[in-house]
Amino acid sequence: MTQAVHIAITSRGVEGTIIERVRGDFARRLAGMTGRVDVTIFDGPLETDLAAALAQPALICIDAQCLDRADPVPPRSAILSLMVSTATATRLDVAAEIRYAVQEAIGNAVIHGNLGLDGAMRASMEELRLFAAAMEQRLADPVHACLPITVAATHHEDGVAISVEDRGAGFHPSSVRAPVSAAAGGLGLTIIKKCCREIVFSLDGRRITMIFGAA
Amino acid sequence: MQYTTRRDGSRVETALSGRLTFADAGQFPQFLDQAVKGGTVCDLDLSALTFIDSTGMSLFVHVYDAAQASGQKVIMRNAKGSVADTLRRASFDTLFEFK
Repeated sequence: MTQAVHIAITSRGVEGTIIERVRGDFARRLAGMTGRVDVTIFDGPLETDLAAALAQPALICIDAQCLDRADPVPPRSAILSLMVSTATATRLDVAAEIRYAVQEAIGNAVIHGNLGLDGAMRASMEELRLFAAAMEQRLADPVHACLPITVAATHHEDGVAISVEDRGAGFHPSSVRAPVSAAAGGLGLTIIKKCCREIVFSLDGRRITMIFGAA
Repeated sequence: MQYTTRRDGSRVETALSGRLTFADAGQFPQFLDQAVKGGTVCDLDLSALTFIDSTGMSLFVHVYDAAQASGQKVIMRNAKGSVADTLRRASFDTLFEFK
């Protein structure tokens, strides 16, 4: 007889009903698999230590704040998957040790992706005020603030691939123009390209996969 | 990012701490109003700043633009580690006086 997959869930301040719902989602999606899957669910608005939430044995780490707007089950090839709400990504150090490239990718996912803000709006002081007001307004709106940002790491030949995915409108990489001024930002993609060996866009620009490793 | 400002005559001293990233963009206008407006010298103490991303760097471009418009001098002091490296790589040491 084949044994069903065992979903082991660690809760960090999340209600039992939510945990059981996630357990059910995973059991359905991973039907046919065997072995053990370790999932950590945390309360995004209350979590203060993302590093602790990501500590082993977690292979999948999910912010309960975005569960209603996301499928929590990551690609099967992922070796570590983290899903946080847009609001959580602005509050916690999601990039942790991976730093620059992932930091810029998460910044793009939040600002241009889930919040749908145009960085060019920051070129002048007047525009910066409008940008800041729009950012605060959208972060206060669950329609934007609870959208998920999903970070996943997978093996890639002789290196590792890290993807960052948002739920925004997407974009075409060829449509990215040079920034109108340094104040308007737009350097994120340039920094990402410098930090990793290769980048690949998918899902109509909503997912960037950064490949790190020997050239 | 957290910051405190203190006026000393014509000098506005601002100490920044923590991480300066995209997550702080909403408070950039308030920062500029407090740190750059008034006075003849804008003194930024970065000793407790631990990380800066490209959006964080754009704040200092606004500082430069505002200071240029009002004739202020900007001093950046005590940048350390990755913050100092990032600012120098972006050539901010050619825009501001570094101490």
